[in-house]
Amino acid sequence: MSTLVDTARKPSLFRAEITKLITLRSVWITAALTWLIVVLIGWSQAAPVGDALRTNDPELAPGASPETVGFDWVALGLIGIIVIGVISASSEYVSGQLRTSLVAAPNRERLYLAKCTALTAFVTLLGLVTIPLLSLLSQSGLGELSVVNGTVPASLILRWVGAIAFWDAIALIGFALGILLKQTLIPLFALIVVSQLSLMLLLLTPAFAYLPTVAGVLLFDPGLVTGSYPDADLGTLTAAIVTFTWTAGLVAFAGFKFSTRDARG
Amino acid sequence: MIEIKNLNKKYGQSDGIIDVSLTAEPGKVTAFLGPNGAGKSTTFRLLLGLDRADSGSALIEGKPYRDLTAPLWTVGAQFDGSGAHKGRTAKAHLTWLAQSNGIPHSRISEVLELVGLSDAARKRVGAYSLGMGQRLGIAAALLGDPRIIVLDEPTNGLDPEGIRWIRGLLRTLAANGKTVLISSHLINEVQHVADHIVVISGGRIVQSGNVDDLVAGHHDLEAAYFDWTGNAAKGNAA
Repeated sequence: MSTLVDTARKPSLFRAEITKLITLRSVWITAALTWLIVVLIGWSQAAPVGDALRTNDPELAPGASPETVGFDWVALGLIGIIVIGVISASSEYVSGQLRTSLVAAPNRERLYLAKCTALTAFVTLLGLVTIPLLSLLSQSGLGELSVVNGTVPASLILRWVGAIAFWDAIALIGFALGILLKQTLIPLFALIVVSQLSLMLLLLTPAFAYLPTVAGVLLFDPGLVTGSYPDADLGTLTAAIVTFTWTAGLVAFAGFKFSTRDARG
Repeated sequence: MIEIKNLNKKYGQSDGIIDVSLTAEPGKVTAFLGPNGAGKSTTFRLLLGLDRADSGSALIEGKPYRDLTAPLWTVGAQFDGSGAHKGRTAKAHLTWLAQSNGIPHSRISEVLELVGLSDAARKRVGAYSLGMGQRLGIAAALLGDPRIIVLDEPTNGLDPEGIRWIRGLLRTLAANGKTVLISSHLINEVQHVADHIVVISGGRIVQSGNVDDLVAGHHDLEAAYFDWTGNAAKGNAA
């Protein structure tokens, strides 16, 4: 007769963390709403934006071009991404969940890494099903101005990659703040406010281009920033380094705190 | 086997625990008895690597808990309540736990059946009563059929039927050779299930031994307990 041990499987903290994410109703509802709202608004705005491009409408946002149509809605979707990132961390500090997690996975570095990896995978997948669709639907509304003529230009694919990387970075920053503050509201409020106001902050000084919420936008739609604030053009490489440094720095610092502090959750 | 030696932990200005030592052996129910705030949960937190001790050691089968890989096969632990996020179902909670330690999925329905939660498996934990949450915590502790069971106040929130059930469960686990360590502030409960008791008061161990030996010379365990903890309180005050 086989015992339980005989039927053991390979332990997988990554799978466990993915299960944790997708079994939280708040996470999957946020993900579904993010997808729906971004795609629907992007699609509904494509034709009017196409008309505006054709007529050089002065109401059109500075820096708008046929290739980048739809990408301004990536920033709207960012709100959902911030919610997912913060909740993936703060949900550990509810109902004794962290104790259970650490009893199941006492190696805190491995647990933390699994949480970061699972969140990145989840947000990447959400980005993959949202951003190319948003972009292609937007292109379909442009008619003869569309840059997609049978094939998708490599430059557009690079913008998709940049936008997904931006979502990943901001989700991880939200996660790191959730771990550091052990709660939902403050990191959620702070990040949403910063993300939605960061372009306006450039009015004060171009130094705000070094915020991850601005540098990240430069990865996929520089015109959205530089159209109104030419001094904020960091260049793609610098923007990538700035975004990565913020993300890696905050994730590493939160990981250090997670590994070393008592688990009073 | 659980071996805790000279464990110390301070939280800020509070005393925490001072020089706590105890041993829990296979085949026995060891009860950690003491009033609320005496240091029982702190000791368990240090044993399970949730907090770091200032000094001393807490070993499970000769290793610190943090050194165990896939620990749910060795140790099943439950703290007050379910330890599950209120937004998840019991099944989802046990699923991620099983995945994290490579425990087969089929075991989930077995432990849910064992604790009487099969019908509530797809209900969100937030809708559970205190007793149901407690049962879910125990189901999680039993998931890997571990050799060592550590339960913090396992009868909290259980109705009389549930209390009777947990007594039977603890005795069965010990009879099957498992090491069972529980904490409780309920003297009667301890007397019903424990082979060995360790009494803690004010963060210090004040008595330890077999129940029958310790009660000898006293009217009952309750009288003995108040003698020990009263003396400890006087000692601390002095």
